[in-house]
Amino acid sequence: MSTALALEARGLIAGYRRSRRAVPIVEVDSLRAPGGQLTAVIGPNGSGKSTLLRTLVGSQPPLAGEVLLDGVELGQLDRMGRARQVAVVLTDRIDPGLLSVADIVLLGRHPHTGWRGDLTSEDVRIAHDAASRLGVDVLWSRLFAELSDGQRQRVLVARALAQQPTVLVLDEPTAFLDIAGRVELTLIVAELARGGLAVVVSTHDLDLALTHADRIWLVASGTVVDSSPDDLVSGGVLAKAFLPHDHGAEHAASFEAVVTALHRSMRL
Amino acid sequence: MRLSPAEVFDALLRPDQASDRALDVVRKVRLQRTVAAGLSGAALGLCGAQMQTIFRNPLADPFVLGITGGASFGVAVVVLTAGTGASHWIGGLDVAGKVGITLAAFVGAMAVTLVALAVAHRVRGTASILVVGLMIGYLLAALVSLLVAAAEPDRLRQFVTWGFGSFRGVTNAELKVMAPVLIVGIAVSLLSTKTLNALLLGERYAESMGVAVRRDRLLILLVTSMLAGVVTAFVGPIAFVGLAAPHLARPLVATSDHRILLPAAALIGAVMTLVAEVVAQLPGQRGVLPLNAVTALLGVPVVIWVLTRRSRSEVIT
Repeated sequence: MSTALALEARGLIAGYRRSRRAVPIVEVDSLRAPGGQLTAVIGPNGSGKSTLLRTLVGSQPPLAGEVLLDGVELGQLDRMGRARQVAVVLTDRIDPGLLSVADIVLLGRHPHTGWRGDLTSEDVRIAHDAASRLGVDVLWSRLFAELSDGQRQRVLVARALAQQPTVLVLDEPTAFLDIAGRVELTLIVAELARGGLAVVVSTHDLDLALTHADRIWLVASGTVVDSSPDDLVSGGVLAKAFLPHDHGAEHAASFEAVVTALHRSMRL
Repeated sequence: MRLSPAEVFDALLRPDQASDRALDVVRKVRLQRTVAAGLSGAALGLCGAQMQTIFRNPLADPFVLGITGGASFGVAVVVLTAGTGASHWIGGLDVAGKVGITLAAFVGAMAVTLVALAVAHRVRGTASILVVGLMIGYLLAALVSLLVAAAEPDRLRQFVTWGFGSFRGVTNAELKVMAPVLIVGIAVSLLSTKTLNALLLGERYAESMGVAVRRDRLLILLVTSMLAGVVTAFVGPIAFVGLAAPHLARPLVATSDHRILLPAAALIGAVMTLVAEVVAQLPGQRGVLPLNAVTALLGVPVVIWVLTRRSRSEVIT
């Protein structure tokens, strides 16, 4: 298992600019997502998970600090170079018209092909392998528009995988799925991490995150707590993050009890 | 002028065997008209296919950016105000003549294009560009109707005739300018396939795959505007072909992959304008039908039929 620091952030301030005024959303001294590990990003709605992820993959510039990919500063890479290092699965619903599953997974080869996008047999093999790992190779020539939500999501992960990145970032990939789909996709991304990829996934599925992730980034109150799932559950920080207002000790305690019970039962 | 198929064949491929009359008709009139129609249709079909992907909108075509509006306004200014005080600043051109109209249409189309591109460069979302284009179009249409209201009947007639669209006015000299420009533009357009395919997944995915979305969008719009502007300048506003050709091409090739879709849309655009040109002169000796009316009358039922037949899949772009 590789433990190279695929993705690293130092002194990072993620946010946006509104009429030249910086609006910081998330500040963090140091974050690391090593290869071979599944990192789950959790936090209440509006805590800045998406802003943080967008900054980490370079689709929006940091207000301060730096993001390193395999030790190289993100800003030093050109677009294609960055796309060969980081692949994403977004929350955007896509409507690609008459594209087949094969067309979409093969689009993952985009940063590796020439100006016309001509595909070599090697490109096709890599894309097909990616589809097999997600179990969508059997849908290879089907139209994307005809697939179920769960199948679509696996096709989009396969597309990201075909990009052959060192870091795979997924923004709430389980949001539209039923419980079976959620478990299945979580197991798949955990498996991809075992294969050496650095996988960073934001999710609202606290239970799945606590049981399957190697690291948890808890985004709350404008900062990020990086810890192991066990430390997070025992430390009482979860209730504090998700129940920031004073809901009373009883409320917080019952929340904590639910999380602990969940964690135990999923581990059995 | 009636010629048998054999006479036409000889005139085209065995000029030494052909009669002078056939040579004159085929080589000096019909050939230009056919080349102009085919190239115009191909260019418009290509523009439509590219714009429908860029804007992720099945109703986008070369004219939504206000390109026709710009051309019409340019022509309206030159034709409708000719002989009045307003035309003096345009200079010593024979302003109401053919050259004047072509130049005015081109300048108008390009002016609107530059405004739209300036907007495109500043905004992130494509929907805003589309709406700004529509707004410019409405604004110019309003200005044109002001000019029309004040125009003399003769001038008005000339303006309306231009608005019908026609391939038969294209002279040999004009074709020598028009054809190379369109051929180069079409060739350059075909280089955009890789970016357009990535854009089918949306701008954010395209960006994550290394596409310079804003730069490429600007370049593609620049080329489509050039193509549509040149076509409109030489043959008038040919509505509908740019909108319909991609919709007819998609079910035919059964893919949205632009490496296949773009050539198909160009081919179908060319077929549409050629058929429309033939149908427009069916009434024969008496004159011709307005080209714009023919493209719409023939095309609208076909597009509706094609779209309703496959409405189950709800796949449009």
